[in-house]
Amino acid sequence: MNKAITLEIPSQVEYLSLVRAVVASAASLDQSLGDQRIDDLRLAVSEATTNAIRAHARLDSNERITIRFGIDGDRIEVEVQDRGPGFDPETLDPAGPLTDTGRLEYEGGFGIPLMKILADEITIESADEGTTVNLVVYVSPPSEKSNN
Amino acid sequence: MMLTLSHSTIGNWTIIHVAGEVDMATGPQLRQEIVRHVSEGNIHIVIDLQNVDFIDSTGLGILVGGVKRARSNGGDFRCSGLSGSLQEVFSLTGLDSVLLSVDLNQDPSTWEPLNE
Repeated sequence: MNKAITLEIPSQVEYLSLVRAVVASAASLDQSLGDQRIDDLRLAVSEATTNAIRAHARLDSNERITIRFGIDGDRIEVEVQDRGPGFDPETLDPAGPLTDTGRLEYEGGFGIPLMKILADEITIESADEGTTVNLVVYVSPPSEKSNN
Repeated sequence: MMLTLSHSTIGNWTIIHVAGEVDMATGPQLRQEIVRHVSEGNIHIVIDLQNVDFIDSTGLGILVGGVKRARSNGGDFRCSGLSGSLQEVFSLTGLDSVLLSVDLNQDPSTWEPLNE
């Protein structure tokens, strides 16, 4: 990964805005990435970091969360790594549309679907020792690339 | 990052003005403000997001909770002042299907009625 930046933060919600600011600033160094895509990346990384902080809270862990940012050609890649108790991403139940009866009773269920929509690629690797979320945004979205 | 909250009224509507970023750090402030207003009987609420340029899933969940709280008490819950970025997030998550947007410059009697 070229032009890599590594950020290690304490597992505290007060650091979320710092992570967003660093990711947005670093992504804007590639001047071909539009503001909307930077906003998409900023939100996706914020969601991944929020989940990491929650995972550490469940473990009562003081370990740090690692965020790695890199630009490789036309790929912007961000990896968020925690050391909390893992989970099986395949077993997550989708929360369903907000118009479904009873859906308003539940405030959660937005984070992972948002990451999947906003990033061009996402992989979630989770084990007992922690979870790594890898988010990729293309400077030119894949659909445009295939048309060129 | 601080979240600044204030409120005003238009007719029987309470307008909660939000400024800053709404996330896991600041969201609890907003939830507390919504709960306070509903518990005081202010069940017709508009969340003014004109000065919010970032909202995450925690914030979206708090707005869902606001819709539920206001409606279950016989009221209504709307939003206003969405930036393009927020509009995109509301659309992607389907929040715009239950949280209707209003124009605070127009009389509330002209706002789209709640369709239930």
